[in-house]
Amino acid sequence: MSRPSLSLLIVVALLGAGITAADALPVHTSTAGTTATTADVVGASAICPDLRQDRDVLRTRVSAGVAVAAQGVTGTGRLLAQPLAAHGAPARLPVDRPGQVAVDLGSTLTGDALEVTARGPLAAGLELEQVTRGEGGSSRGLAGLRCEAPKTQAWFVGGSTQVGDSLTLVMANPDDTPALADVVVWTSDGPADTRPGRGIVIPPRKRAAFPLDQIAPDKEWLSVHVVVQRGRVAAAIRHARLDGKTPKGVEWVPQAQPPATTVVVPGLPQGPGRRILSVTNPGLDPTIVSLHLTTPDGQYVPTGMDALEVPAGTTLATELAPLTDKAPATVTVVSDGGPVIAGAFVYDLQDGPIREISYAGSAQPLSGPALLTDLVIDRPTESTLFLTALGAAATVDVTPVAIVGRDGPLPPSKRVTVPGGRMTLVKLSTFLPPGATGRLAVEVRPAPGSAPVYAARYLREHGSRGPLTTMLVLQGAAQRVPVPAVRRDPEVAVSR
Amino acid sequence: MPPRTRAPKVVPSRSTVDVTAVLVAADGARWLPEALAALAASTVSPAYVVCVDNGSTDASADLLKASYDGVLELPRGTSFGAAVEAALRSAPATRWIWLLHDDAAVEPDALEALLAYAAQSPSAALLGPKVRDWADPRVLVEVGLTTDPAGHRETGLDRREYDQGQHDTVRDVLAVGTAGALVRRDVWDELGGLDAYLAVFRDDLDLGWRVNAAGHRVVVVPTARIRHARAATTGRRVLQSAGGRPGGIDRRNALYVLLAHAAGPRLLLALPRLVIACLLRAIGYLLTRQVAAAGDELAGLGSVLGRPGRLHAARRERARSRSVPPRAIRPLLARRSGRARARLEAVADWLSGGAAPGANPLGALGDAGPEGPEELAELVPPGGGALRRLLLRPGVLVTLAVALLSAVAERDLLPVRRGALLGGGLLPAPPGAGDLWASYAAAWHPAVVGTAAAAHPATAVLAALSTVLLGKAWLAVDVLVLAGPAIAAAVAYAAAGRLTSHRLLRGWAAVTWALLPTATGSIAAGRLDGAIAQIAIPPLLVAAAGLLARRRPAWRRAWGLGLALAMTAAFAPLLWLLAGLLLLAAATVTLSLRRVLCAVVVAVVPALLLLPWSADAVHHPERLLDGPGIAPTGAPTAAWHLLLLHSGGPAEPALWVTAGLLLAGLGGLLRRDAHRIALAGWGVALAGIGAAAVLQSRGHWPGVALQVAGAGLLTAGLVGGDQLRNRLAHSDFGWRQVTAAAVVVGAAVGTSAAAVSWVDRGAADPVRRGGPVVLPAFARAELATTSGLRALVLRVRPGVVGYELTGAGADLLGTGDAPLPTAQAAALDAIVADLLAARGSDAAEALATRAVRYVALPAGPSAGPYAAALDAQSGLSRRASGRTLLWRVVAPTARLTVLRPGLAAAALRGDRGPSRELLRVAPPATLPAGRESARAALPAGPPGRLLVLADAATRGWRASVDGRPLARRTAWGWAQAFDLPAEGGRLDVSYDQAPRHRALAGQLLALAFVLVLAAPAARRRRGLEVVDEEADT
Repeated sequence: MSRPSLSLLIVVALLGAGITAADALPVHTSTAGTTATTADVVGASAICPDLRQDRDVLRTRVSAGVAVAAQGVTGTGRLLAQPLAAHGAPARLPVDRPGQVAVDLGSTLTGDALEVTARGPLAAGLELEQVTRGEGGSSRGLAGLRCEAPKTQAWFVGGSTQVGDSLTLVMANPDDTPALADVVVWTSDGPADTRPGRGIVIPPRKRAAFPLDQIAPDKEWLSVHVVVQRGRVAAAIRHARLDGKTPKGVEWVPQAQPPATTVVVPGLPQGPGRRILSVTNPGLDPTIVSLHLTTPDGQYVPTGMDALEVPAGTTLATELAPLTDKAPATVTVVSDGGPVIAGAFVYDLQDGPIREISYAGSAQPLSGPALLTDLVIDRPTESTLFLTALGAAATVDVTPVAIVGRDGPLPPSKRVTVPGGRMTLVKLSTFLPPGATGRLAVEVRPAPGSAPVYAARYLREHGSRGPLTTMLVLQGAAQRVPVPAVRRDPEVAVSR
Repeated sequence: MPPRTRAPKVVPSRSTVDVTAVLVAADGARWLPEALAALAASTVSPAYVVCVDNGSTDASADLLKASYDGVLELPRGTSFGAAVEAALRSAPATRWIWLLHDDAAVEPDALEALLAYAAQSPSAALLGPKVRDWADPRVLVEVGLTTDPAGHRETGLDRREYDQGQHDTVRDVLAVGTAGALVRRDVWDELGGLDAYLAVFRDDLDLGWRVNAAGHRVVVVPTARIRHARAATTGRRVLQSAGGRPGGIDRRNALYVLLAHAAGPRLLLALPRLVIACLLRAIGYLLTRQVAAAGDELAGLGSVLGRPGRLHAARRERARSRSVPPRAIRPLLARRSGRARARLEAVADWLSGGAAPGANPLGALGDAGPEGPEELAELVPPGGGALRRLLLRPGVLVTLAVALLSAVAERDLLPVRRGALLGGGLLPAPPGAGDLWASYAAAWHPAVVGTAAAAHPATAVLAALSTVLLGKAWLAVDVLVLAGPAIAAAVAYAAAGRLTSHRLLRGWAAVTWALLPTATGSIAAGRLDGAIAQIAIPPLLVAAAGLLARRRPAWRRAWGLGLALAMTAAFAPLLWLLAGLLLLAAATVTLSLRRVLCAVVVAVVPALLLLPWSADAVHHPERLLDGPGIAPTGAPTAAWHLLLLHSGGPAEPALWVTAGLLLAGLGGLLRRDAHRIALAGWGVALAGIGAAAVLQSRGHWPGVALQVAGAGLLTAGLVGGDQLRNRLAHSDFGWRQVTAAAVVVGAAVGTSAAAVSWVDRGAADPVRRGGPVVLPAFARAELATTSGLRALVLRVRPGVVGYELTGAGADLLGTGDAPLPTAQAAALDAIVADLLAARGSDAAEALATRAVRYVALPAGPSAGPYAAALDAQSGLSRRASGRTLLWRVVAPTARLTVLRPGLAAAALRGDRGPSRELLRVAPPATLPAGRESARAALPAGPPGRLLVLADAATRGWRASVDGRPLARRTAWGWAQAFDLPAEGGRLDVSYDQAPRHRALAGQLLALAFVLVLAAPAARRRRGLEVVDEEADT
């Protein structure tokens, strides 16, 4: 073989061998940056918007608790409470480890709004609840509220600004810089003028109360969107209704889920009165919605509710009372068009002219353990836990939780199975011996591997002059959050 | 030589004229026979011919005696002037004197022509002939003489200018050479003849000047012609009439003549100017290693200034004989710009038709020059002006074609838009060259959280280039990136000339090289290292081949190649590794110690020149694999893609376009006669592909290695293509011809397809022209006006969120590629991850300690969840919601903060950031700070305060209060901090620049050292004339 041909062969052989070897080279993965994972929440705060106490007439209870994390975060920490306007060092709450609840906090605290912050092990699973009980006048009734973390957006469905209704948006700014918020309101007549609600300033560590009749006077079935342009606020809406001098109820409008094409409102209670579902279409195009009810007996679409038109920017109010007369129901709103928000208004009555209102908010399935920190078990009061499984059957553990300062053995926990497409009611008084009274705190935790389940609590007291009701949707505090992969990449500063 | 018979004094056919011819001989036996014969053949005979022999040791005297009677024999060492004087004394006076040298042969009609003009123009007192070269009478040597204000002897001719009648007009000149000069006897006597002091050199200039000054004319009469060997000037004759080196005597006499003729007060101006010019020239000579020439300058200066008495006498004598004002003579002097113009013209000549462009790119530094009319005629198409000639050269045509092609492809990148080039790996250029220099010289860089790492050496090269380009840094980047393909095509065309003379083949190689996948890819990806390598590899290869091909390569070539490699390696350090290893290997194979040593020089010079950085690279070897700018993050491609020179980056054509090149390279191996070159090409190619495979598996850009491979393949391919037609013609038609045709077509089609695909896709993306627009204008302004503030820029990428800490706007070229220490990188990663996870962490406060005032996230569908997390993050407050979502860090942010004792304790404990409660109770006080140092008035406060600088703790930081140095601490686990006293005062914070300045001085010295060693050596001189090696042999 000639020299050139030989060298040609050698080069070709070298190339072939080189390619094979190169493909076999281990590919170096960059060690820069982090990988995606999940992590425990290490800091949390919540603000209860209104701590009003008025001796015998008005009493506000605040309760706080920390759920035991699914991953079993242990260790002790501090829960610090500080009224917004107050200066000086924050007060320390008695809760110092997960799985504890402290009740009746409001009586020892003064100020208009209370900020509770948790760091470290106590942050994952912090839940705060306030219940105000008024005995007369425009405050007569029970008004309960899950104290929310400060956020940059909040949606509310419910409220009215007609004669006799007083609807107040309360915004608390926990930060040291002023917050700036816009308030957008939709009503059953369409969107309200947006100008009055624009650029509301909440001073640093202050609370601002804003009457919503300034934006939408004399309207029914309001929906409110609070958009914080700068800073973060904890927003809440208080609805009080008075007919002349007759109290017609008081309630906090719960925060709703952001617009979605499927919205679940868990737990419209059974009973007399009105049950009105509000569906608001915040979009620019009309949409058709259908309402699906899930009851303890099954799921169905009520006649005439399979195709309801919701015009753009308008709230559609639908009376569900005849359907809930016999059984409670969870409502699923499905929109064919754009996303909607929804909530329900419960108008309760008893003998006599006095009425009571409560709101059922929209919900996500339970994300983890959720706490009910303030349960009063006594004769006239009945607390009911509504559990709804929309799809497959779900299993839920309801476990009593230790209340700080109240010793004694805890009642055993209960495992509740919710059949698929059914709603199950759990009377919380059954945790105590029949006839016993007392305070109770429970943790509601979906069993591992359980199908999604929606939970709400309905509290109804057969008052001497009329009913006292309030509702609470259970979500479960965020305990573990996804952490994205990050990498330092100088290109981000120059790419388009 | 046949013995000559005694020549008759009078030849009957010729008339005798009233002329005394004086022929002076000194060791001129080599030329004398011809000179005597020429004199004898003159059409008119001088009345007297007086021959003088200055004590020759050869046969000169005998030769003279054989031709003429009455030969004067003077002692050895008599000067020409003295010899003429002696001759004149020995003969009756005639109206004219004709001065003749022993090494000059007059044409038969020379004297007749001179006399004819003299008769026609009585005012002419000194007439000179047209002087041509002895050996090659086509070459003009002298047509009149003059001098410029610096004392250079100017003939007004180009080097080796051919006599084509272009100077054939009678002109008034300052002086004429003495050989063949006809001078009126009365004027000669009046002026006292040649100056006795000027024994040799410049005597003719001085005489002409004096004749002019006396109001007579000095003319050159081109119809009178002589051939002159210039034995003294060219060093063929040992000087006897004057001691010392010819150069020194020449410089001395030049100064002497200038100073002697400078009229009155002009001397005051001329003297210092000449002294300074002499010193500068001496330094210049020293720098180009011409020590003897430098000595000549200094010796000449010293010997003139050392004897002011003689100079004074000479001046008085010239003042006496002067009868016309100096301004009448000034037009005859050469202007200072003359020399510069002559050099420019030489370069222009070379460009428009000298040698092939860049046929010797490195040589072009030193010894370019028109080679000769024959070569010119061959290369330049006939007709047309210089421009047309220039444009029609094939190399220029190829370059223009590629330039046009790239202009179309780079349509979105051309500098008609505002802004700098950026994107991909390219950071935007700072406004000016000064910024680049400052960035290079800085001991500390504000990038990310501040670093003391040495600046990338590419910054210095870019700064130098921008300085040349009118101080515009963006222009330097534009030239490298946008004009890169055209420059690459030009150098590749030139380099291909080493392998083939086939123009079409060279053109193909040039275009293929300029459009290699990695070439278009490195433009689109904004890789400066790729752009530089594309331009530098062909000349580097040629130079390296030259080094290896010579039996005894000159040291300066090794130093020069090392210097060029260092400049390239400043951008593409990988090239240094590859070139050094390949060259060492190749030199070792040749078994020549000299070559191995040269290769070692080449390999060591870059490491030496890039020293502060290359020492850093020892600790971070991976830095040697990446160029300046942002390290790319591309997925690796299959290995066989690398074989086809594809790196998988943007703007690369289809895979098959390089298949023809690969096959052509394989075909090159089949050639018998140039087998070695093809093998060498493949050696380079295999090394390049191997390096590319390793690089890519390590997560680096393999582009530069693929370019090396491409150069090797092209080399082998050119070997295969050269003489292909001839070689195929020798064998019968068969598979050889078919295969060759297929490969040729494939190679041509591949290159065309690469061009079409590049034009179709466009050269941009991700590189683009514009400005970084991530931050809204108000935030940019705030960051720009407050020194040391930073912004965290986030961007959602598939599967990962990228982030960067930047100053105002973005990182700039030369600031952004310092590596971040692993601990700090991990801390930043954790902070950013927390920030995006909505877990209620103190990430915002941790950012505040890093002086991050804004967090920016470009809006988009994928940004939603992260925007919500940032909204929920306490300590951040949303500020803008347009194209970019922007959050402001609520906690006080500043480069320089004073922490009260509570916070100070947290900081010294190494907490990640201050707690919100502490911030609320005792917020840190901020102090104004500069970009690097800070000066502020420190108020008094409680003891235990801490001064924190939002920059990484490094040993170089110094702080003092009223001159008292402060103890150094580390805050928050990473930041530079100092203990503060309770009392206030004048606070000074600065970074210690001294080590960096020492390093820069060392680098400058090394550069000067290498430059001197690499400077083109002065060409061999003999006497005063540069000798053409080929003409001499």
